[in-house]
Amino acid sequence: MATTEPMTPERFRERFSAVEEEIGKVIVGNRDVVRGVLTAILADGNVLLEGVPGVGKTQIVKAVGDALHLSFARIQFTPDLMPADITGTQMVVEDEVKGRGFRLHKGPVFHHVVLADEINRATPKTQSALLEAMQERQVTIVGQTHALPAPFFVVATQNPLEMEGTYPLPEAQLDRFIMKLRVEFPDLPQLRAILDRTTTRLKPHADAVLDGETILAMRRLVREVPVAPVVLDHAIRLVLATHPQAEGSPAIARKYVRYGASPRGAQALVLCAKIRALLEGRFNASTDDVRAHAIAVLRHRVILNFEGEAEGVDLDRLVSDIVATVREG
Amino acid sequence: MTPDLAPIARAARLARSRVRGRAVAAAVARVGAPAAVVSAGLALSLEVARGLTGSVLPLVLLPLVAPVVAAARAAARPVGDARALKALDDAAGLDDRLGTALAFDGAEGGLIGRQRADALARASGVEPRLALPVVGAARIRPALLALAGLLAVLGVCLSLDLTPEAGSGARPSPLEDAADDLLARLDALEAAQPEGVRKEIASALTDLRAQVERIRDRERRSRANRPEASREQEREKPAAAVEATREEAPREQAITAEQLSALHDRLQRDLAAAFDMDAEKVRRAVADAVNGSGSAARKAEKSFSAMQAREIAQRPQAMASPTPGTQGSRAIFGGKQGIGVGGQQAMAGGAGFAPPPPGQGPAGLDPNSALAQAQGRETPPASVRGDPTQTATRAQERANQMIDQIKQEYTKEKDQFEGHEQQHNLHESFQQFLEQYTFNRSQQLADFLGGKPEGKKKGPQPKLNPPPDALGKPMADRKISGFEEKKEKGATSMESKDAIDGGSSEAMREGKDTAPMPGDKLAEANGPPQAAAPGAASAQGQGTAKGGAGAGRGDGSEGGEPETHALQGAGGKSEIERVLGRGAVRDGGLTPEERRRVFDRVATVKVQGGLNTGGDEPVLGGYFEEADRLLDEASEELPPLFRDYARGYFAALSGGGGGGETQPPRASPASKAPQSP
Repeated sequence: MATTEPMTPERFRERFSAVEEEIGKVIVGNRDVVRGVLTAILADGNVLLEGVPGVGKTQIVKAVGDALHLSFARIQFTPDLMPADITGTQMVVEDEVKGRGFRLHKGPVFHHVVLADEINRATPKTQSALLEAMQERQVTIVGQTHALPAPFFVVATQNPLEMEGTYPLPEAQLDRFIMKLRVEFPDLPQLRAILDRTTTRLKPHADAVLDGETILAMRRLVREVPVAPVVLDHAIRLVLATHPQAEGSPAIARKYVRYGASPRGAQALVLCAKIRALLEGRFNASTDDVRAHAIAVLRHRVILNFEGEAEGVDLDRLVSDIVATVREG
Repeated sequence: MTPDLAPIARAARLARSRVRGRAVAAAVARVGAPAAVVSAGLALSLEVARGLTGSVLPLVLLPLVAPVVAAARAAARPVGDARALKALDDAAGLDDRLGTALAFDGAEGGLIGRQRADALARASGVEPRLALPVVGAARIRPALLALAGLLAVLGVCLSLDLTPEAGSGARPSPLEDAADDLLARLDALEAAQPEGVRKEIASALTDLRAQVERIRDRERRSRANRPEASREQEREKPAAAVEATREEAPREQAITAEQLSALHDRLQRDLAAAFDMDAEKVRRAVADAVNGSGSAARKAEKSFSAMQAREIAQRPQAMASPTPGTQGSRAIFGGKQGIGVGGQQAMAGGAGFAPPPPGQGPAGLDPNSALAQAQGRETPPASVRGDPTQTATRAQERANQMIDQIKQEYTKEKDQFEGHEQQHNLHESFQQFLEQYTFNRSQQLADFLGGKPEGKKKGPQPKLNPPPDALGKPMADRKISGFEEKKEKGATSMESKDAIDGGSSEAMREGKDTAPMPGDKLAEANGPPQAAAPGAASAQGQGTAKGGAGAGRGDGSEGGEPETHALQGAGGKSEIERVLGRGAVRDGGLTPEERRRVFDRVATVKVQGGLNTGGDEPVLGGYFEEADRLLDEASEELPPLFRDYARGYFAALSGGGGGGETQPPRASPASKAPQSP
């Protein structure tokens, strides 16, 4: 699996397509979600999947884990889940040679791919146990900092409907997800295909086509993609447009938004734009690339004010309207 | 710059100019269409309202300045390479390849080299002229269409309006020019005067300005509506008819223009004199300009004077003919028995009514009754002839009749001019002016004579309601005071004595007649006009004539004015009777103070009684001389119409023919003097 071949844009595209193809063996439809998850991985980010139960959120993550030759761990978040259940803890062990002592028992966070299923069911204290891992790629256990394996990324899921007994993610944790992807309910052909694949003797399985080294090489290539200042300006203007206090922000933002996207949002926009440019066969990112990921990148970074909450403003619609007000060039 | 990026740089230069051109086009498209629509709307509005002409074309094209300004601003806005290449990338679908390559010019490493190569490869196939069309943008088409529509509208409107009629419609007419010139001269006149004079002439100037402005505005409105009408007529009429219409227009205008021109010339002449003269001259000039404005105004004077002249001319005939009226006059004026105090008391009482003397039959009539009979008018029954209230009413009716007659003459002239809309408007304007003029003059006349119309009404008054008195208090006061002045200057006691007992017989012998004076004239001088008349009649009526002059019919119970009581002595005798009872009037038995009092009373009674007082030429002669003098003084402030009338009126009272340039009216207008029936 590992190869010494240098990563080129062409190979980048080829590898990416291979992973998509393998995941496509398991996942019916949801190509945008799969591409989004892979983009988040290649952008060195984490991704939040949101969808009603049964639409294949966990299945997508598992398929991605299968397609990637990486370790995979699933954490089912519950209210009684403790931070140590995620990060691990020091345990007393007795050795015949060394005698009794402490030994680190690593938690599931020490895998390459971590599925935080129904992350909003855990308490904020437990949720915050992932903060350091998601941003710093390290965890601190009993005063000792431990680096996480590379590549590392977290894929979390949450149910938007069932709000009872949940703990909505704080803004700081939401900002650490490079994208928030919505897993839509499958349409009729997709649903039929799902039945075909899951109710017969055939059990589709995604083969691992991408190892960690390749992923890291692809990540390096992404960062070499040149972005013109005009494209960067456009990404910045998009982020600023989500801020109601910013000069020249659209009226809809001033009306419904309490706080806009953070600089992490601009970073995510540019990184995702670069990946898209490579996938499109270009060697530079364009404003179209930036705008293509604007909703997925900004939707969870925009916080509604009271009026927006009261009126039930759809964040996707809101972000789309804001993006439409920002001219290109 | 890296040499291999030259194609991209060239594309950037080309794109820059194209971007600037597109910005200009976009600005024009954004602002041009609304501006063109506004312009077209303005053109159509002006065309409908007054006709679109070349003079207002800049106003119509003014909205088109907006797209020009917008285009200039767009052209002046700097266009950088990044912006130009961004536009070129977007237009050519290059996804920022050219812009990125130029942005990373000189950089190396990573994917930059491959990106630059990719951009160069793509740039070779991009033609900025094709990728960035300037005029080809669809959004410019509405503006171009709107502009074309505007040009079409302007073309249609101008082709209709650049006609001789439209051209003349845009220019002020001679009438307007004359009015403006006149207004300017009035301003110069007012500015050149001292402050005191300016205040004196302010009212007259304001009136004159209002009249001139009214005529000018009417003409202006008429001219504004003219092109529309002329076009409609032009469509309907053949060419010859159109030419005839064009020829009529100046002639129609000339009617009013002539009037205004006459006014203008007169004022100009007076102004030239006024600038070198004193304030009185200036005031006279302005007053004459006001009073003489318009030929119709002069016609009004002539008509008024003609009516007076007709009556005056008819009066001697009535007096000369052996009619009961003549006998009545003799009974009134020439009755031998009436000589002296009794006759005067008879005249003083009854406001000019005198019953026939005993032995002369019941047919005695006063001159006005005789005149009425001579003219075929119905004479009121004897039972009501002596009522001063009814006399005043008849006087008022007669005044109204005279004004109606004047208005009828105006109406005849107006009828001659009807038939054309413009002429109608002009004439109507002038008619209003004349009505206002007539009312103002009548009001001045009434004011001067003492009676004021009810309220200061603005605008024309179709019917003048004259005061019941022909002589007002101010004039009476001035006459008496003037008479006293004259007496103090040298009137002898003998003249006074003659004034008492000699005048009536002289007047009778000479067959002179005087215009009737209302019995309540001087009564009003001492009290309210309405109450004084019957009061005076009552008081004076008690002085029953010894000579058969008859008792006055006054039956008012509110009389008893101090002046009147002064004529009555203790025990029911008047003062004159008391004096005569001493038998000393002719014999010089009176003290100077008594003689003066008797002299004044007699003069007062003379004025009160008018014709009915009979002769007393010396006394009345002095009085009327004084009246003439006062009239001369006041004539500067009086309109010619009234001045002539008043002079003739007093001349008629005095029994002579002088005093005025016009023939003095023997029978004054009924509005001025209640008549004895």
